[in-house]
Amino acid sequence: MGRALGGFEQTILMALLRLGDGTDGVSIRREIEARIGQETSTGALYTTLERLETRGLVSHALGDSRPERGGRRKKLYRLEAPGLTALRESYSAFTAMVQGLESRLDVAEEPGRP
Amino acid sequence: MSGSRPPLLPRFLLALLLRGEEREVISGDLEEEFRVLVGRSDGGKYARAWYRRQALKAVGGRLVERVRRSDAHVGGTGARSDGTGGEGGGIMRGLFRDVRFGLRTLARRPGFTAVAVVALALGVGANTAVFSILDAALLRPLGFPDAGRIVRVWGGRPLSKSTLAEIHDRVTAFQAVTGFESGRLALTGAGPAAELYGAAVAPAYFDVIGVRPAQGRAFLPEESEPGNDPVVILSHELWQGVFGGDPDIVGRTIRLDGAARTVVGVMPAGYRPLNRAWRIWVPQTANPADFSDWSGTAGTTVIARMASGATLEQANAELAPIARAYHDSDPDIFGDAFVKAATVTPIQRAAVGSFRTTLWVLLGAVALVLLIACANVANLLLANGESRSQELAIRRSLGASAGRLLGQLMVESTLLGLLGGGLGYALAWLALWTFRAQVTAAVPLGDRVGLNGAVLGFALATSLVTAVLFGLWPAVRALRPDLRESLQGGGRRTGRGTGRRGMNRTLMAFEVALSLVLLTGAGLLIKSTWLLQRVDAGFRSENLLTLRVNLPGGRYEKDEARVDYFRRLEDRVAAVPGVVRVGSMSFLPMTSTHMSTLFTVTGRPPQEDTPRSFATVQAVMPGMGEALGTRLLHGRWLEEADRADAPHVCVINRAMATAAFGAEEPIGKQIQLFGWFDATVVGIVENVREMGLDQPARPGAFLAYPQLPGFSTMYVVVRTAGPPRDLIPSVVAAISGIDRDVPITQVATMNDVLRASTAASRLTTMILSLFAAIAFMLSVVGVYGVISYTVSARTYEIGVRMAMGAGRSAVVREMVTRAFLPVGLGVLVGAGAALALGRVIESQLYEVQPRDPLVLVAAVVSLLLAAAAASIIPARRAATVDPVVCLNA
Repeated sequence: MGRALGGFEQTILMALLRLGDGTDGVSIRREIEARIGQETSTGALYTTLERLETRGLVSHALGDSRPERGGRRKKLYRLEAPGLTALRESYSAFTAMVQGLESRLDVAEEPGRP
Repeated sequence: MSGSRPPLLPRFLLALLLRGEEREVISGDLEEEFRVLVGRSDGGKYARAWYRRQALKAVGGRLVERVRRSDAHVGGTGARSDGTGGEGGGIMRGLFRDVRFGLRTLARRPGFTAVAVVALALGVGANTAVFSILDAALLRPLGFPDAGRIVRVWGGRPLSKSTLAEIHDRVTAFQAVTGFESGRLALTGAGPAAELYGAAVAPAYFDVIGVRPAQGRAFLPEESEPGNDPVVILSHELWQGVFGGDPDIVGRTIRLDGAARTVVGVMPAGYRPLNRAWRIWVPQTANPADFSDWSGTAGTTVIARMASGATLEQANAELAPIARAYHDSDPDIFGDAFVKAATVTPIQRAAVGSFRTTLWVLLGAVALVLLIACANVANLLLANGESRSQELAIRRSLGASAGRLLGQLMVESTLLGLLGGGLGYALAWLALWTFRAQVTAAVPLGDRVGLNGAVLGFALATSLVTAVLFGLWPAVRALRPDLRESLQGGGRRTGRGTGRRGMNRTLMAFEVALSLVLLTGAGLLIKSTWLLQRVDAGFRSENLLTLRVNLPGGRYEKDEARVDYFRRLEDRVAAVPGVVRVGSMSFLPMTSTHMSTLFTVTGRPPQEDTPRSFATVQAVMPGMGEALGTRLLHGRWLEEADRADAPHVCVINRAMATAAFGAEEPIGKQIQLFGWFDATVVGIVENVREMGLDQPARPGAFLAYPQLPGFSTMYVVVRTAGPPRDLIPSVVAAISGIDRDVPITQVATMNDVLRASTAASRLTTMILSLFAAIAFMLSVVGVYGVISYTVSARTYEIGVRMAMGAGRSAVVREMVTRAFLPVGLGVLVGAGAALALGRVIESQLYEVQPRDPLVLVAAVVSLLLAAAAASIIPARRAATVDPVVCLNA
């Protein structure tokens, strides 16, 4: 198993999971910005996606060239099985660590949790 | 619509710095989002800002990523020698790797890096600042078309209009020739009375300068006929300012000096006149009342445009016979100086004048600073190379080629150069910004000084050449040592590398010598400025307010009207509380405007073989002597009783008393001025340095204004009880209360006038002192660096000697003595050079000999003391070496 996912890596993988296979960079970035409410750098997004790709967590295919992109093609991403596994591990690590800390972090507990 | 496409520069950066798919996808994403954002209501402002931000982040991020990845291939030693392998852009990859490695190396030696960068920055910064002045004054052409062909004729001496006509007819090297007289006209009827500085120009003026009015037309030839001249051309600024950009300005009538003139043209925006204060141009008319062939102090300044292909020598050759003819007609008035001045000078050179010499002195001085900085950096790199020789040897033995390592070292010094150059450029900017007022005041064309592309190029080239040249040499040396010995650390133990330490010491001696030259030069200038500040100007400059009034024509056409005005002025101002005494005079001392004329002693026939003498002439109102505070030596001052109808009298200064009468008693004798004005001497006063503090007083005569009332422009001097600045509003109000249409200008304290007159010499002194201080500091740091390096390189040897029983003081003494050998050598060479180079700044000095022994001794002593201090600190460290620790090391 590779090293644990970084924060931005997790964010991207979750966005990709939410949007489904064949999502392009623009949509991923918009999804992240809409949810987190902060501008995200396109450069950083692709740098991270590339890193995730070399680790086999995501893959991409090239789309068609599009006029609204000045005739340029786009990359369509897909979450691979190891990506999903890594995300799962991150999630369980996070929940394990965060348990009991909710009141100190001053965040509301999610309903339905013990 | 310009907003529909993403901003050009970021788009270009993306295309330039990203590759392949990466470029396509990122540019595509940004463009897609940009098109969405540009539809917002703010006209694409947000979209462009967003695009710019995103593009810069993308480019920066990708560069960092690329460097990080290339590092993964390299490994720590940098020994991989196949710099050309790998996929696309191998050289770039190799470069990235070296840059990264170089930055890490520099960061690992923060002390070394900081000293080297600061040394370079000081050198480059000082050079850049001086270069920007050079660029403004000499290199960048003035804003006239083909400005290099415009020349000033006859050294700028005012010539009579008939001489101008003669030049026009006889000199074929000129395509066009013209003349101008600068002066002031009072503008009335458009707000408060304003005094406008401008020029009365002869025909063809606009052909010579090559710039024509942007609106309207230039003057017609017939407008130079007397009576045909009520026309005027305005500057763009005047049109925009006083006339509020009136679109119908051409054809409008304005009142200048009480007379109506029609505006026929407006000069283009951004046009910088020959004199940057000019705002208006009027035709110069051949007024028969002009003093047309008078002693050469009034008349028209002649400029010309060279015919294409004509040379300056050709023009000079054609002027010479004209000058000789004048000389033959009257060798007294048209003396040798007049004949010698019959040459042409390119207009820019003429504008810069004697400041050229100053500029070259400064440039020479600043080049020395750079050399010292270079020696410092070279020394540091040498020492650095020595301490790194082991590292380099290991890397070579692991297979790195010498070329590879050399390239690496070069990249390191280039980085140093860029860091130093960047900081230096910032320093230059800071210096110019801080001293912009002084520079504008003291440097001819100083308003053009600034940082531009040429200056940036200079800074970049200087820092890179410096760093690479002085980095290459230590790098080559660092790569030469014997591999085996370095690997064993033998250099440290056996005291090898003495050759390199010899080099260090040579550089140190060189630095000391150069600093001494600069210190001596600065010392000479400081002494000169100090002496200049102590010069007795001949009057009391404290608590003195000065201003100028210019009586417009028309109402003040008659002599009586002018005399009456100044009587009333003195009465009104004297009544202002806080005013002690008021006077008026035709020329203010230190402002370099004056009038001079031939004089003779009445009843003494002029001798054939002695040259006739000139005297400066001042027309003054009675209060002037006491207001200015000039000491009366003998006799009386001019008085109220010296009216127009009274016998003509004059007060002469001490210089004139000596020149005209020698040991005889002057009072009661008569002198003749202008060839027609006879006046009886009634008093003798102390000399006033009218031409400037550094100019000896000339023979001068003060005449009563009512008896010589030709001047419409007069300076008013007000002696005050308290700080003169406090009285400005009430004095100005009192004067404008007499006649609102009389412009009041140049309101200043006499101390300010004095300061302005020495601004240029003080600026030179300040700059050179600054350079000397930098040089001094750099060489002290250099001495310190070399000694402390020597100490650390010889720790082992010192340890051995102390183990054998050498005393601490003996060790310190030996270290200091060794340091002083090169310092002493540097001082000797430097003193010799300073003595030889003293002549260079001779023209800048006032009453100081370029070989002033006191200054030289002071410079030598301060340098020696500083060097001693700098070498004792590390030498004492040598004495604290613990033999046990260092022998076990």
